[in-house]
Amino acid sequence: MKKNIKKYEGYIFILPWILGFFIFTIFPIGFAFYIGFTDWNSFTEPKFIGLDNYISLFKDPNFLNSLKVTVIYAAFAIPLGIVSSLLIAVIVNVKVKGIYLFRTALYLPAVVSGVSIALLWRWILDPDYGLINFLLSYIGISGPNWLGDPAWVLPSYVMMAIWGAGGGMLTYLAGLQDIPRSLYESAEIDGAGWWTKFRHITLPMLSPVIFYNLVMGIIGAFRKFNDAYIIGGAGNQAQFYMVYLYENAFNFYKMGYATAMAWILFIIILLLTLLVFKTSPLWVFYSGELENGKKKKTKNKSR
Amino acid sequence: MKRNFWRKVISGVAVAFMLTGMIGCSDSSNTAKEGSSSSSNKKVELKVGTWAGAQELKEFQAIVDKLNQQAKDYHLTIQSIPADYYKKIQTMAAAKQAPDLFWLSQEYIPMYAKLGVISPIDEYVKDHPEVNLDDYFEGPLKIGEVDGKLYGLPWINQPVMLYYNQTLFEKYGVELPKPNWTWEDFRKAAIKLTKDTNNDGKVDQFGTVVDGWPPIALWIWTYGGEIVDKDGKVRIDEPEAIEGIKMFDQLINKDKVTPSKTQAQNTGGPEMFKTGKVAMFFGGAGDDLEKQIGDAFKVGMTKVPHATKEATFSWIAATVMSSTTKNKEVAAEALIDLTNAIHEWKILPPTKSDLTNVAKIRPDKAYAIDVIKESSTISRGFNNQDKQNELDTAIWQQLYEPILLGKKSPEQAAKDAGNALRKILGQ
Repeated sequence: MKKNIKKYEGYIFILPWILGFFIFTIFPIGFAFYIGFTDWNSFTEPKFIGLDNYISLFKDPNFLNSLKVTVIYAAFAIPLGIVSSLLIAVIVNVKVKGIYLFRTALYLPAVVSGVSIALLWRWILDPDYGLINFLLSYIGISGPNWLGDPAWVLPSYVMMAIWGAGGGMLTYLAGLQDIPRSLYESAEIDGAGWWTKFRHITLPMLSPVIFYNLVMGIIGAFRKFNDAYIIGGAGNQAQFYMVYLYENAFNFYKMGYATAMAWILFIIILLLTLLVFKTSPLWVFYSGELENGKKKKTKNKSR
Repeated sequence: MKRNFWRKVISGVAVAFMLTGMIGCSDSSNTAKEGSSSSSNKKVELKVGTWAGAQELKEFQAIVDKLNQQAKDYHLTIQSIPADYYKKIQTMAAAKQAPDLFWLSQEYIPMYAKLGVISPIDEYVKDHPEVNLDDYFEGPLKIGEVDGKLYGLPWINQPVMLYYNQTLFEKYGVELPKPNWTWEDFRKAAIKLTKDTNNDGKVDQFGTVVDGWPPIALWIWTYGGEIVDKDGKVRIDEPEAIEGIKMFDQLINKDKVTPSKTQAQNTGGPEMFKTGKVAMFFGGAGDDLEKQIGDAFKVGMTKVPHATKEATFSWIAATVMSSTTKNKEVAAEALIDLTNAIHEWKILPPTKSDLTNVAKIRPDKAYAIDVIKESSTISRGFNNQDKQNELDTAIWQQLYEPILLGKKSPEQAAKDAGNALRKILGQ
């Protein structure tokens, strides 16, 4: 009897969590899967329409535009974001007086609310009174109409993303400080310069962090919403995937259509993440694995 | 055997757990209802959904308190939703929990009506002693009509007027705007008032401001055209509409009498007018520009210009009744009382008789009462469709914004917008 209580009491303890998981996670996922196949305005009962939502999505020029805009943005923002975060981390990974002040300042974009940042950027990018065009005018360049000219909207967003790169700096910095000093010392003895050290020690040792940031970057770029929704941009160029999804769900009351979009986004992100995972053995280096490998080998030998 | 016993115990606990939660929830709502009904002697409890917040909510609460004292059959409770109003109403309606009465802006009425979220009120208002449908201006009353049935009573009618900086006009010796102005008259004055005042090679004072506001309908209607007619047919690419769009394009791209879209949106059209950077501004009749400007300069107000037909766009909102309200008769009674009471509070009221109160409610508008009356007569909303939000977005994407940016000719913009609208409406 007592044994049996012991056996099940654990379940009772986790019951609140299990219930929450089923009610607020599993059920909504299942329901969303169904909603993607329905015509649903959220007021009346969903009407099953099979694959119609998915078919009309690929004929919808606004959907294709939002996909294109998001992919172009991701193609530039992710690599540039990674490179600049890494660069910032390397630069601030020095022991100089007052470096903490710089680290804090560079990390600020990650702390400030996205809405205030978006509004701030709207002012910075103002073609007549904005900071950027004002500075450009000093060197005789008449700056573009950033958010007002369709051709400059995406570059503006990429620029904003790079400005926020300081937020990604933190993980790189932690990674950098984890690299054993001895590696650099032995490289120096072998006569390695800073580039060789960076290329053959820093980069491989940081590759797990880069891998992590790449995956998070892909997810983040495809889910871009806040600033695009707040400040927009001319000629549909700021109509990112999530913005169009939101519009369909909450302005046009096309919940089924929006849910279908969400599933497509899920599949895109899943495929890209899988791709990154599959290629990771080629470029991601885990020092732990090496040590484990060594241990296994020595174990095998001893056997 | 033992295993079964414990299985039962666990499921029993789980069920009890869930039930307690449910009872807990329903308990609190029951007590709330009983509490309020006992205080109002078994009157029908009605909730009123409003986007009013802060000061507006205080004023609205005073109106509702007064009604609650007078009413024999109902007791109103305000449900204030100052942010994300439509998203919350949407969610509440989906859960069949919409407030019994609520405010709707004109563009939402057809959709809510067609989806059965709101109820027609014809039978309750037809012979009601407190409702005189003939007293309503035609434009605002029409936005409550869907498929021949009336779904709401408008409580506000805010026609677009032409505000002007009289001091600036006088300074440059330009003749003041008149109620019978055509778009040509407007254009000429705007050109005269667009100036580089500090001679730095950049224009810093503009004739007017167009930055997404006012709606393109203002030009299309006054040239005798329609965006979508009352039968739902798309007409934005017909010759009359195109004439209107041409004038819109002329002002922005040829005469350049308005600041750039970005400049106007960043500074804000009203702000530019208030600081004297813009000479003529399209604003709602009830906007408190006069108060905000104070003594900085003299403000005038007149009807919007026209070409072949007089019309002005109006922002209109109505009180509607949820289809899930239990006692429709009493709810309709409350809807009528509430709407009538708001007519004495908000300006502009959508009724002819209440319009005389405007000067009393807002003495700063007294000077323009005649043009306000005339504008109310010619004011109208869109021929709203159940996909109005989608239509508005398409008009912005295919027509308004491309012209603002000088990326499309009026003809091309009209053609593209027409095609997009037809696609949305399945024509």
